[in-house]
Formats: sequence, structure tokens, C-alpha cells
Amino acid sequence: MKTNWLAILFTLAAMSNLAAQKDSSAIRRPTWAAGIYGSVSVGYGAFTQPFKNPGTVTPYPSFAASGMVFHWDFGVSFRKRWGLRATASAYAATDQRAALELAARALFPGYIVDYAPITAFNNKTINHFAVGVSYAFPHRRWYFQPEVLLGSTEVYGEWATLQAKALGTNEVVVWKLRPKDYEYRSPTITLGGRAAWQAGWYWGLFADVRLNTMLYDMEYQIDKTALIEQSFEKETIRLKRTALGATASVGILLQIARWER
Amino acid sequence: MRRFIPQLLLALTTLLVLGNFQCEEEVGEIPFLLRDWQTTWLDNRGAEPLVAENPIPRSAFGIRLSANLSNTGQDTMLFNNVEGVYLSSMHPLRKIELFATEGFDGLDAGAEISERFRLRHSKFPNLEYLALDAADRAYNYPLPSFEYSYRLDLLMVEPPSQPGAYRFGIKISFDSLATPLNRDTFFTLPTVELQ
Repeated sequence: MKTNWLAILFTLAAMSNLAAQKDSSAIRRPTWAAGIYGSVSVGYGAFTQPFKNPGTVTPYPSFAASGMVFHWDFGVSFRKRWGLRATASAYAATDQRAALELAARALFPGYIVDYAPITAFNNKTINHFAVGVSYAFPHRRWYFQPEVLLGSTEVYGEWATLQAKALGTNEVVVWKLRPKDYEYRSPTITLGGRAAWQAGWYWGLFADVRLNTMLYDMEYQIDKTALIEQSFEKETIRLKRTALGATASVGILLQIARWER
Repeated sequence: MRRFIPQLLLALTTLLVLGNFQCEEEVGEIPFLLRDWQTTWLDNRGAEPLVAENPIPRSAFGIRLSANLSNTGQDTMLFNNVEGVYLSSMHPLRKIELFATEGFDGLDAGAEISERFRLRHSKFPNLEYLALDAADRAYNYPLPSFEYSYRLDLLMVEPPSQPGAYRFGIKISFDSLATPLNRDTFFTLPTVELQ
């Protein structure tokens, strides 16, 4: 009888131990942890077009109205859930030459207008770099991580020449357009959030949403020469505008180092 | 280490010697002579000046001077179309002058009217109208696109006030300081009907 009681006790103890092990493994599922991570994501973005109808001939920050986006992020999260993040993004660009040619033709009715950017439109993307802070709200294997980033976005400040030849006469007007800062980058504020699922101890899947505000303040000089009169006139155009953009992307993150509690 | 010193010295000497003899990128100058001058009327109503016949609108009138380029003593031009090569006149063209052979707008017959014309000089992406007395480089260093034919488009930027028949003369002068390979040339052009 004593043996039977011992057997029952042993069995219960073994079962409770197994149950404890099961609970322990549930707690030890991969969850958010402070550490260092990197991530890549791909998605889609839409941008406002503040320079779509410039009304005059202006060079261009040529965001596509919508198109593919790519993000590469690198960050560190501290134990108190605050973190630092650096991001590099590539946005789809568009060739606005046709729109500018149309604007130029509208300026010179009765002329044959030739609009020639000095350099070709080789770039198909616009880059954006930013750094900022993030904060993690973990919930089981999920976490939500809002972010505020400050950075800059590439702008094509391209030289261009416009020639307007009057029909029926030898008259030609030549405009040379040049940006004050060829290497201009527009200051950009990004507000975003990441919903991530910690799939493994060292990797996870996530979706990002970001809202960008790009502040443009560019200056262009136009040298206008009338070839017959040999008259020369300078005009300065300042473009102070704001562009907004929203992107959504999904990607994979790699937790390079974990600092468990 | 000491036993390698001769080899090191030899290697350094070789580098120095060969380094000095390395070819630099050559910028070739192709000298040329101008032969067989020709003139045609131009009508510049459209995007580009086109060869035209009478009558021609006054405000779009021009004269094309063309010649054959030669650097072989024959009417041929040896030309390698490679970057860095440029054409350079063997005997520089110094001046082009235009004259109103029969006068107009109060001008006497034979009066010089060069100021009423400009050389249309197109060097992508820029188009320039050069005064004829300030176009030496354009005359003597034509763009390689000219290749075998040499062409100067002179556009009339101050046309006669009235339509009618006009006659023009052109004098092309070469630099007298160089070996006189080209001869100064004077043309009297046929009558042109300007509308």
C-alpha cells in the first residue's frame, strides 16, 4: 500500500514538473528584448507633388506621385525601451522633363522650345537618410515601436538650358537655369511606427508605416539672354514648399544582439 | 635584408624609368586647310536654318558659307573621330566681312554691314549668336561634327526695312602672319529677294 502511495506521489510530482516545464517554455518564447538590430523592408509610397505645375521653368525634386520604397534600418533598443534608429531609404523618382517642357512652351507661345537638362536623368530613385528615437511597447511576442526621425532627402538641383526660337524670324532666347546649391538636400521629419512580431530569438517580421514631411527651400538663378539684342537679364526664383509622403512597407529584422533582463 | 637592397634599387629604377615613359593621354590637333568656298541662302523660319531659294523672309534670312576641309593636300580629310581630338585651322581665318553691294536703308553701295549679321554657333547645349569680329575660335576650331565639311551660318539680325532685291558681298581674310596657305577671298553673291 505504501508502495502504491509512493507511486501516485511520484506520478503527480512528475506531471506537475512537466506542467511547470511547459509553463516555463511558454514564458521563454522569443519576445522583444533590448539589443542591437538591423532590418530591411520593401513597400509602397505616395507623395504630394508641390512642383507638379510650377507655372514657370524650375528644376525639380522629382518624387513620383507613387511608387516602390525600400528601407534599411539599423538601431539599438535600451532596456528602458527607448532606442536609437538610423535609416536609409530609397524612393521612386520620376522624370519631370515632359511637364517642364510643357510649362516652358506655355511661357513662349509661337516659339520652338528646346529644354535640355545638362545632366541626364540617370537616377531612378531618391535617397533619404535619417536618425532618431524609438520607443517599444511589447505585448507577448508582439511589439509596437513608434519613431521620430530627422534627416534629409535628396533633391535633383539640375542645371538646364532652355532655348526658345521664334517661328518666322532669327530671334532666339536662351535661358540658363542653375540651382544655388547643386547638392541640396531637403530637411525631412519622419513620424512612423513599426508593428513587429518576434518570430525567433534573433529575427522577426514587421510592418512599418512612415509619414514624411520634406521642407524645400531652394534658390535658382535664371540667366536670360536674347541672342539678337544681346540683352542679358537675371532672375532669382526661390522655391519654399513642403512635400508630404506616406510609405508602408513590410520586412524582416535581425536581432544582432539581445540584452535579456 | 641587405642582400635584397640591389633588387629593391633595380625595381625602383625600373619603376622610375618606365613611369617616365608612360604615355599621357594625347590631345590631338588636326590641322586643316579650307578649299572650294561655297555660299547658299538660308531660311531660318523654323527650328534650324535650312538651305533656301528666293524669296526669303527678311527676318529669317541668313547666308551659309561652306568649304571643304583638307589636311592631305587633296580634297580629303584624314580624321579619327576620337575624344580629345580637335580641328585647328592650319592658316587661321581672321575676319569675315559683309557688304551691301548696292546699298540699302540709306547705306551707300559697298558699305560694310557686318554688324547686321551674327555667326550662329551651336555648341550643345548652348546656342550663341557671335558677332563676326569676335568669332575667331568658332572660325578656326570648328567642332568635330563638322568633319569633312566646314560650315558657317551667318544670320541677318538687322534686316533691311523694306522688302526687295538685295545684293551682298563677302570678304574672307586669313591671318597674314602665318604661312599664306589660304588666299583671301571675296564673293559677290547673287541677288536675293527678301520679303
